[in-house]
Amino acid sequence: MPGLEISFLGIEFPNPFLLASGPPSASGAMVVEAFKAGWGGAALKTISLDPTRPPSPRVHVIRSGKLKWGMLDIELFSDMTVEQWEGEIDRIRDAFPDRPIIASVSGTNTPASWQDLVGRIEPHGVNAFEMNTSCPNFSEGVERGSKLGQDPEMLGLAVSWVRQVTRLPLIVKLTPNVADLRPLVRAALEAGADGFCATNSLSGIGGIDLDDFAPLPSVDGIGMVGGYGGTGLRPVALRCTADIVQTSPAPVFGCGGISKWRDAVEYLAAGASAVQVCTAVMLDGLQIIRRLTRGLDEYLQSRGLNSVTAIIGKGLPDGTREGLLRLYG
Amino acid sequence: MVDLSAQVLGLLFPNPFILAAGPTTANAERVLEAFRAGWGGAVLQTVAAGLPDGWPQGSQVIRSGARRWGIVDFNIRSELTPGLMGQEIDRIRDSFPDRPLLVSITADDRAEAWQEMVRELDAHGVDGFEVQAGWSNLVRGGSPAELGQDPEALARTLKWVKQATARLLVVKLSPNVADILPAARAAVEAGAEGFTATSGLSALGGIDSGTLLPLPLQDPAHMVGSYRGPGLKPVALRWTASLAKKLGRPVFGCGGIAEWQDAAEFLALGASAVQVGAAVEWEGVGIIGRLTVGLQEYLGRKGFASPADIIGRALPRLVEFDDLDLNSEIVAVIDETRCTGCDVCIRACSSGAFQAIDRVGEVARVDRLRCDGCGLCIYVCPEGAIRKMPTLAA
Repeated sequence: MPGLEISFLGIEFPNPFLLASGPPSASGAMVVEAFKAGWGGAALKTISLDPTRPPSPRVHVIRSGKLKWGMLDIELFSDMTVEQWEGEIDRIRDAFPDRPIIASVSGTNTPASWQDLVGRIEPHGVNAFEMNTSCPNFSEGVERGSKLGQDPEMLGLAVSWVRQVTRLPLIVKLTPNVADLRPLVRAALEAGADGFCATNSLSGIGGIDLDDFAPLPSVDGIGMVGGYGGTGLRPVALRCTADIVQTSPAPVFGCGGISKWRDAVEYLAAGASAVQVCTAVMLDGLQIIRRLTRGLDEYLQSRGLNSVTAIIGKGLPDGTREGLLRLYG
Repeated sequence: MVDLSAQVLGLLFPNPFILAAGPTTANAERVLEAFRAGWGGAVLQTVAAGLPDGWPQGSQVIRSGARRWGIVDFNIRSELTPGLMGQEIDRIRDSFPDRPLLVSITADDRAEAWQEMVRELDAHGVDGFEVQAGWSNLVRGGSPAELGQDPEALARTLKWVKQATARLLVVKLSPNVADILPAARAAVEAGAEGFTATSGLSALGGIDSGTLLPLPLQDPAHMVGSYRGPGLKPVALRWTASLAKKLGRPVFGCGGIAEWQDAAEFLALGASAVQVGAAVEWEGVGIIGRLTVGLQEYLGRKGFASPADIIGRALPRLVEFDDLDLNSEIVAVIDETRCTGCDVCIRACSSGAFQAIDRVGEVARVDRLRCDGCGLCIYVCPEGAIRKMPTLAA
């Protein structure tokens, strides 16, 4: 759709709506279907060297009456191996040679765990890497990445490891579960990151089964603190987006609770260059892309704007906005 | 017979539902109306000392369609001086000498500001103080920060308060931290007796799609407010559990409580009682009826004698990932007599799960070999026609 194109770190997206890393981007076939439906790009479900089997069930939807305003998941990274993913990425590339694919990756506290992964995926034609530093579902300790996004020093180290082995754009997906994002943003930039995604899910408890007192989702009567995403995350991820662009000139993907075109306008005005969507796709299906792009297009037309870049950072103080606009020449 | 009363920190609450500090506890008139309606106690709206005048104030209600799921506040504090709030306390005490009553307080980083305020309030019949440690719009050292993000500053502040009063001291903690325990531990050492979990999330209430400016103040210099209401609940539940598990001090659960079930969840995760704010602002003090009746009936049905009987019941079931049984295999099963063929589950499964549901004639059917038991379809089915069962049974 003319006017919806966006350039992000030199990558050309036909529209600013991407699939976020998660269940909707869990296989090559799903991403191909999403691209056919019109999605502007996709961040693949997080690939790691040591895939773990996910628990069942692993999703709980939080609602008030009929409104589903949150999702609590105890999902982990993709359960497919790197070998499998190499084939999946080839499948997407066969069908869509040019649509941007971002490989979400996660390693441990060793350089090899990140570098081997990146080295194997890059030849398959992805456009960028997104480091998942914020998956909140692991047990304590940097061993499995749980604290990476909460510790500027560790984060800088991990970013530098990835930077050493790839020249592709490097995006860091941040966790909102910190007192202040700014030290993390600075550490990532110094270590060579090019852009950010704001944000991964909040750590939360989705609810309690009041019959047996199991946290939800309940795996055989027990449960855990999981990742809270969807609508309710939006005010926090919006604030994080504004925090990041006011700290650095690097472009940001907004991510958290986007289900309507209006939500995307909010992220763009708060400084995001494009947005990523997950929960709304899970609840309502891939076809929501049509109303997202149509709604945004009509909105821009109604305001006499010929490009989505015209609204980026509009809600921010003037200085920040000028810095952002330089990204788009 | 269920007795709803709750004994917390030596105070006897007739029921565990307490009005949270906020617009609904701005003055005696409102609190008296709430007490007459049956509320178990109240925390009076935050009295602030030493903060700059003229800070912009505002609130943004966040909704999807007609449904409200959050409020983002800017500087919503009491307009009353400590002296005037003291008079309100006296008026409440005239009619309700025994109903538990706390007052929320905050100030800048000066001992005099805190102590002067506390001494003035202490002269009136309040049971204790709740230190607001989670305001995302306090200025400290030139940039926005919260007491609850700085254990040292929090401890220092609580010691000042302790010097000025012998009454109960509760801290309303900030959720905007990587870990809530350092601040909580510092607070206990400095003399805090209990906690409220939690204050609001640091958030941006939205952008006006007309002006493209941040809501509600339409001013890029004031974007970040404090987000409470339903959307805060999962985070507040998490921190309540964390405090209850590790510290063993009484916790008031606070965040998005609108129904008795919400309260029961907080109690099950270790809260001793709960505080309610947004739901009362939206629906009025009358909701206390459905909250108490609902909780009473639930406790009775389950054979419990009081709210205390469910406190912490969910904590042993809250585990780490490594403790989960990853071999538990379940599949979704659709009750074909209730399926209307709306295809909502097919869309969800196809876009966000395993492409395991297909249309067979008039109804949806699960391919048990493809289904991975993630649980998504159960929640999207508008008919409640889908449930999960172990693969062996299937």
